[in-house]
Amino acid sequence: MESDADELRSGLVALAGHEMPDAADLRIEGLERAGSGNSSENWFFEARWRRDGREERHRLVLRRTPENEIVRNRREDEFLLLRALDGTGLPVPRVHWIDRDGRWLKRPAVVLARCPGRDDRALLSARGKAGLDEDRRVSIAAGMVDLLAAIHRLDVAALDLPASIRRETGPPARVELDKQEAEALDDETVPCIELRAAAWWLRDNLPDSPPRLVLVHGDFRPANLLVDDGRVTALLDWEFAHVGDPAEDLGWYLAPRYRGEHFIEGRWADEDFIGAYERASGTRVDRKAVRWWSIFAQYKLCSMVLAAQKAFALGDATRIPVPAGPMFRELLEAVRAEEGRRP
Amino acid sequence: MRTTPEAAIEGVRRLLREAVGPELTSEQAVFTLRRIMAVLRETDWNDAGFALFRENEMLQALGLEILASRGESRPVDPEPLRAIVARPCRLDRFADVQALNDDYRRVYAALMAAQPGAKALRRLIVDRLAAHSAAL
Repeated sequence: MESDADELRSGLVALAGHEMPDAADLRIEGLERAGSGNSSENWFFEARWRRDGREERHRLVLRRTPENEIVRNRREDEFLLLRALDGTGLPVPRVHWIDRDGRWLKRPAVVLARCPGRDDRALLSARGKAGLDEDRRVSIAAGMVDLLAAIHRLDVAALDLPASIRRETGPPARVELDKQEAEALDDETVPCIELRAAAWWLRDNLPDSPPRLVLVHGDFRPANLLVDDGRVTALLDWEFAHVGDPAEDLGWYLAPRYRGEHFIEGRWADEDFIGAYERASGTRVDRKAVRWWSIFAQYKLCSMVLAAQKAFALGDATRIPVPAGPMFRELLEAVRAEEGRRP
Repeated sequence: MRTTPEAAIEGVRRLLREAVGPELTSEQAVFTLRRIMAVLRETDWNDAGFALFRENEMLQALGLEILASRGESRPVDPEPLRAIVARPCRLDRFADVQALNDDYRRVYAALMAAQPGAKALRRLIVDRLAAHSAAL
C-alpha cells in the first residue's frame, strides 16, 4: 500500500505535468512534511524537470487543505492573491501550481516557491532561534511595520483579487464580525457563553469604517515571517487576507494572546508599534478602533480553538487544540477592561 | 498511597519525553509530540472536575443575581433561569456536573439572545465570567 508521501509524490508529478505540459523528466525529491501550520498541511520538496533542453530545479512547498479544516479558506483564493501580489515588490512566495479541487492531491492544494530563511515565532525574543541581539530585534520589529505599511499602501482597486477576498459588502468591522460569529456558532457543541458575551460586546461597539480600505494580511506577526541572516525574506500565510480596515492588522498584532511574542520589554511596546506604523503609513491610527480589533482578534483566535476542540472531539487527531481556558480569560478580561475605560 | 491523576499524567509525560521523543525523526512527529506535551502540561488533571463544579456554582450565583436585579438586567422570561438555579450544584458524578453546565450554557445563551439591547445585563455577565476565569 502506498504511503501518504508516496501518493503525494505521484500526485505532484501528475499535477506538475498538467500545469507544465512542455516539461519532461519530472522528478519530486526530498518530500517531507513540515511541522508548522494549523490552517494548512505543509510539505517541503525539490522538483526537477527539463524544459527547452534545460534542466530546472526548484525548492517548493506544498500547502494542502487539512483533512478537517478549522480555518475556512479556499486554496484558490490564496493562489490568486499571491499571483496578484507577484510584481508588487512585497516579499511573498511565488505561486507555481494549483490543485483546485483535489483532483491530483486528494484535497485542494497550492504549490509555492520555498523562500530562504526560517520561521521563528520567538523572533523578537532573546530566546529566538537566530539569537539576535536586542538592537537587531528592535530593527526587525520596525522593519515589520514598514512591511505592513507597504501592504496597506497597495491600491486594492488595481489588484486582480477574487470576490471572496474583496468582501466589500459593508463596514469592515461588521462584515468580519458577521463572518466570524457565524463560524463560531457553527462550531459550538453547546453554547459557548464566553464567546457569545464577547460577540455581544463587539457588536455593540463596532468602530466606524476607515477612510480607506486596504489589503489586510489577517495574520501579520513575527511567526509568519521568514528571516535569513537577520533580514526578512518572506511574509507567509496569507489565507486570512482580505480587503478591509488597516486597523485589523494592528489589532491582530496587539491581541492579548500574542503579547509575549510581539514586544520587547522596554524597547518595543504598543505605542512604539502604533507610532512606527503612523510614521511609515503617513496615517493617523484610531486607538479605540485598534483596541476593538485586538479584542476581535482574540475572539477569532478563541473561535479557532473552539473549532479545533470540536474536530478533536470528533476524532481528528491531526491537530491537538490548546486549552481554551486561558484564551477565554484573556478575551473576557480585555472586554471588561474596555467596558471600564472612560469614553 | 493513591496515585493522583496529576502523578499518572506526569509519568506519561516522562515516558513521552525520555522514551518516545528521542526516537522521533520527522519534524512533523516532533511538532506533534510538543503539542501533546503542552496539552498534558497545561491541564490541571487533579482539579478539572472541581473546576467545572465551581463554574456551575458561579453560574448559579450569577443567575440569582440576575433574578434579583431590576431594570434592563431583569430577564424578560425569568422561568428557565429560576428553574435551573433551583437545581443543586453538588452532584456525585462528573457526567451530571457536565450536564448541568451544558444546561446553564443553554439558559444563558437564550437569555442573551432575548435581550440584545440590555447593556447592563451584558456587563454583569461579562464581569462575572471574567472574574471567575481570572480566579482559575
